[in-house]
Amino acid sequence: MTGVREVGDTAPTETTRDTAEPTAARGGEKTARGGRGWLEKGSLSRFVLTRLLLFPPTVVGAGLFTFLLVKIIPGGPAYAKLGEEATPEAIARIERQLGLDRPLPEQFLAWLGGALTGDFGESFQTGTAVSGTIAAALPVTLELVVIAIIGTVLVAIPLGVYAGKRAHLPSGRWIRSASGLGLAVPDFFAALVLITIFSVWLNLLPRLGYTPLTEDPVANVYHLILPALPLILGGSAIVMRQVGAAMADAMSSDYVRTARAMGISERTVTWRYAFRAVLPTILNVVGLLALGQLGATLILEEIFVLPGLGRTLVNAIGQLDYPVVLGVVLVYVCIALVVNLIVDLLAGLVNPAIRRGTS
Amino acid sequence: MAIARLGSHEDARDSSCSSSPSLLEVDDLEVSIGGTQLLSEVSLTMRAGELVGLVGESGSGKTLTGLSLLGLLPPTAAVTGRIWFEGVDLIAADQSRLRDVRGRAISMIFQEPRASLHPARPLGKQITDVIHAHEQVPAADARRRAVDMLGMVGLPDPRRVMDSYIHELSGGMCQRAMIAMALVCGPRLLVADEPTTALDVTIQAQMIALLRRLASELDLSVLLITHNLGVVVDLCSRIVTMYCGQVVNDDSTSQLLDEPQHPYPSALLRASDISFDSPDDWSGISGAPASPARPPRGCRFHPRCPHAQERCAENAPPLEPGRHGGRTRCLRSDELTLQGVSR
Ligand SMILES: Nc1ncnc2c1ncn2[C@@H]1O[C@H](COP(=O)(O)OP(=O)(O)OP(=O)(O)O)[C@@H](O)[C@H]1O
Ligand SMILES: [Mg+2]
Repeated sequence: MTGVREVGDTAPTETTRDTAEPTAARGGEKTARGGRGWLEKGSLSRFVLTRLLLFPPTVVGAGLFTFLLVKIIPGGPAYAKLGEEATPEAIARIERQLGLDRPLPEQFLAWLGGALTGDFGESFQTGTAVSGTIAAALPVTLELVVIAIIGTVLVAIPLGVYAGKRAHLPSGRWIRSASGLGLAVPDFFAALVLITIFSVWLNLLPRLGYTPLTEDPVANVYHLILPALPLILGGSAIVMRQVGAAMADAMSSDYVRTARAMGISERTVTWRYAFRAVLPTILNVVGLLALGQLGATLILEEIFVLPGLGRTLVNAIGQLDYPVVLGVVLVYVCIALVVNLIVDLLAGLVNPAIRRGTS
Repeated sequence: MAIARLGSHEDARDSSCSSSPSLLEVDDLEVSIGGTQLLSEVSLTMRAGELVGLVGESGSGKTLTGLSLLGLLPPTAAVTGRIWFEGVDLIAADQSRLRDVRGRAISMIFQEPRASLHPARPLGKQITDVIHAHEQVPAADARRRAVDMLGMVGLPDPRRVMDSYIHELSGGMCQRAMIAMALVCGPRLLVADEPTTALDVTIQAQMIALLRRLASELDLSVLLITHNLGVVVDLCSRIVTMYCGQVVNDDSTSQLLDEPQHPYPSALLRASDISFDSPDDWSGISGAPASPARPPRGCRFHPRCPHAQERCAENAPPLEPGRHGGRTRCLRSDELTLQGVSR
């Protein structure tokens, strides 16, 4: 998880720096207008390519970091497997079996070589291929995050726009206070309250269970609503605040004043002018939120007993099941990298200076 | 007391001017924001086709006056008085009426052309937005009109400008585009809030020439708000001076240059660089401008006025017809003879 945090935390600064760079450009149809060409310095395509080239070193770095972290944890997988009263001989045998007696660099390189070809080794505990475990768990987590993000966007953006437009009125302030409350409530507590309300009292939503999307899409989504709700509530509080503040700024900006001074309708002013101007902010906030919610699935998968990546990781850490821990962390890192790349790409596309390559 | 006297003068002026109906008549406008009174006793009149300058130091309430004309004050503002425009009281008008007036009857352009236009919306769209806000026209017609208007404000290659974003144009071009946006629906009055301040000197001159040409071609009245007396003197036939949230003087440009009737515009003139004869006679105005939130007792200008007497600190002067025409707000206007700057 540390690797994920790191990537998530450093990304926003990079994002702002890169998108603020006025010389960035995308090649293509508009190059005739004085824009920069495909892969030319400062072009969006070049920026994306640079990012893609940075992927492998980042992934390897994160893998090494996690590898060392796991090794620092006292005890060892052999103890975890055999229990307290294991004899030293039995432990040595198991460690030899698992390849843990070899020097660390050798262990790491062996793992890395496999990982780069998609082979994360076998679980120390079950002996099954880690890639298979991940393939089964990943969709659960991704679905949970996607549902949470869609729900958050649907709830928070209209509310944020509403609050931003009424920042000076009691209704706007009331929404802000409500979002403050949402920020203060931890996910697990919200989950417990929601379970009590929707599952125990109202008996509307199932508390446990998971059906794969491929089997029964309706049952699948039905089972994921309750786990996603705490994420939607917490995420909405964050997004609403940011969108509200950005909208309030935009609504009192000079260009909105100009649009109003020419009689442009309030609806056009709100959506085509103010909202359009806060779109980059929204993209960044939602991108960061996606990473935050990816982390938050850890505890929600535990509470709702969902067979996702988070639960897999927590179990694997408990059993010091190195291959599983490493594999899952690597997947988290890759998701974070891809989310960041998508956010930066979208931010570039909604910025005309970058899209057109003019400055 | 002062207000009552002002009222009687307004009546007198109205009857004398009834032959040429005014386009805009602001009577006793008072604006407070968040309980602080920022404009008081603001009165001014404009006739159709007239170019009027509105000058005064920073914070004197010029922008607020301009924004009041369009009902664009912040939502926390409280407004009293009358703003008659073509027979309609804009202060009593509701939002949909005001929205109709904006852009089609009165438009306003602003100081920072770059900040005042949307950074991520093509300029052509911003202009056609105005057309669509007021008229039901097909998109192609709106576009054609926008292109014509861009040509009219002197932008070369209007078609290219239509698809440009502000970062692709210079400040002067952005200001021209904003003027096109303001005039595309044919308003009768343009409030130009320091349209040249952010531009360099050569562009300033072009902008003034443009406003002069547009005013005559489109039969447009212009209320030009500016710090720069040189610019108003160039363009406007009449100059309204504000100080500390009040109109203190309202004179023809030639009268103001020959013999100002109020010490404040007189000091402003001498502080600006348009004294043609004696450039050495440069003197600023002592002291800082008074804040309209905490106006001085009596005449608001008296703490800085070189001609102030004791009574100036006691009695607030009303805005009265001046000796040489126009209107002025000075207790001593009858006895003072102030030095002008013109030849
Ligand atoms: N929204 C607002 N809330 C509170 N006070 C305001 C607001 N807008 C303006 N003021 C105050 O009203 C006074 C007049 O402001 P205004 O902007 O009209 O001055 P101005 O003459 O246009 O000055 P400048 O030349 O600097 O543009 C100033 O003292 C200003 O601080
Ligand atoms: Mg101003």
